[in-house]
Amino acid sequence: MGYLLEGLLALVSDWQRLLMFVIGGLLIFLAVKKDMEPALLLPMGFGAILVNIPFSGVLTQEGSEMQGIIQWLFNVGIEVSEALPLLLFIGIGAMIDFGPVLSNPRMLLLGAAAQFGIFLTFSLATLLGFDLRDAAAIGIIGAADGPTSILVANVFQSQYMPAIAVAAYSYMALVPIIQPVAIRMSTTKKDRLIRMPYNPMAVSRRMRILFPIVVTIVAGLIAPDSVSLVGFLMFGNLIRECGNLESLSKTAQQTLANLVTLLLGITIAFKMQAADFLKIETLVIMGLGLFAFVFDSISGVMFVKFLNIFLKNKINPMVGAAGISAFPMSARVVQKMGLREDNQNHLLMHAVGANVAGQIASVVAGGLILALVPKMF
Amino acid sequence: MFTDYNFSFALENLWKSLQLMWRGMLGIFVVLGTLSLVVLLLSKIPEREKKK
Repeated sequence: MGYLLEGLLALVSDWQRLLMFVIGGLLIFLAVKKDMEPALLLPMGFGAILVNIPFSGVLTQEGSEMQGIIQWLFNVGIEVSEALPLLLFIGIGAMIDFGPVLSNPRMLLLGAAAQFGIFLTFSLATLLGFDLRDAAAIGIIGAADGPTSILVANVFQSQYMPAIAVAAYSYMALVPIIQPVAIRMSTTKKDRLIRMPYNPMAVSRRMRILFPIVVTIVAGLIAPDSVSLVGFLMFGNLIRECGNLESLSKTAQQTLANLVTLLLGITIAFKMQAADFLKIETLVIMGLGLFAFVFDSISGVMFVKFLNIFLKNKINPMVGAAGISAFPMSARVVQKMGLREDNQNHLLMHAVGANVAGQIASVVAGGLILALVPKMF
Repeated sequence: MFTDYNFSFALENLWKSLQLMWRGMLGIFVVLGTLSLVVLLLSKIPEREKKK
């Protein structure tokens, strides 16, 4: 009869596994009750329970001939090829309408400025004792872009990948809470009242089609390591914009994105085994992730304030904060804050422009970090 | 658990991270600035009128 109690005894004697059950349950609670990035946090939460069941069949057990499915998915889909996060980029690219940034290209610079939090967090993480590769993977939480965070953490073989993924996705869901505080901290009422009339340039179909190709070539020539990230994002966008691949575009936006997200969440859970996850570093990384999001927003705001010194038609500094990649939450936050200050001040389209620029800037930042960090050794 | 973390101050790594900061931000601004100019140039090229 002992074999019936083997699992239970192993669980009861290992409180760390029990704690991981609680953490898994918490992620499921946040996904279901609080609607926080449910597509990712729910599979991750359930996966955390699966991998922490003693002698779990989802992991390859010593002496067993059966290969654990989650371990296999991790090895094939993330560790060896980074296929899952990259495939997700095709879906994301197919979802994004770059029209608002094409009609106002200076918004691209706002996307660039709002990546500063990545590098500031990177420096802070090195100050706290993380080695350069782990610090870089932690800094990328500030890209506000889950797949980029996972990919960079995997390429640098960071042992903190699950903490980084949880931080990246949790804070993305918390953008409506984090960003208003950061924006208020860095703007005055006068700043927030700046009105921005919306006079977009016409965007031709030709430009919409050329844009993803040009982005890939420019980013690829300057930061070749970003080609896989930028290239897949832009491939998805080209499918969307070419106009005669509607069925493929819909498949990429819905079926592919949903399928990969579902698998990605449960696959990352492979790294949520108690021994890997329950470390003080996990808490430090959560703190650093918050720092990255706050300073991304502040740097976007400060850059607009700097630009406004030279501009005749001022930009509302809140729009700078939308330069982070958390789309479309960040743009909505700015629109809401703008209307709260002045109910005639509609900033949504400007903020969406900065927000989609942030999508491009974040993957470029990921590529640059992948290229530059190994050269530092 | 909770024992192997060492809050050590690594000045050399901090220096490297600052180097990466300016290089990274320069790279991002160069890429996005170039794209901004290309989009601006593309918008200046007139569309061909469609044949009726």
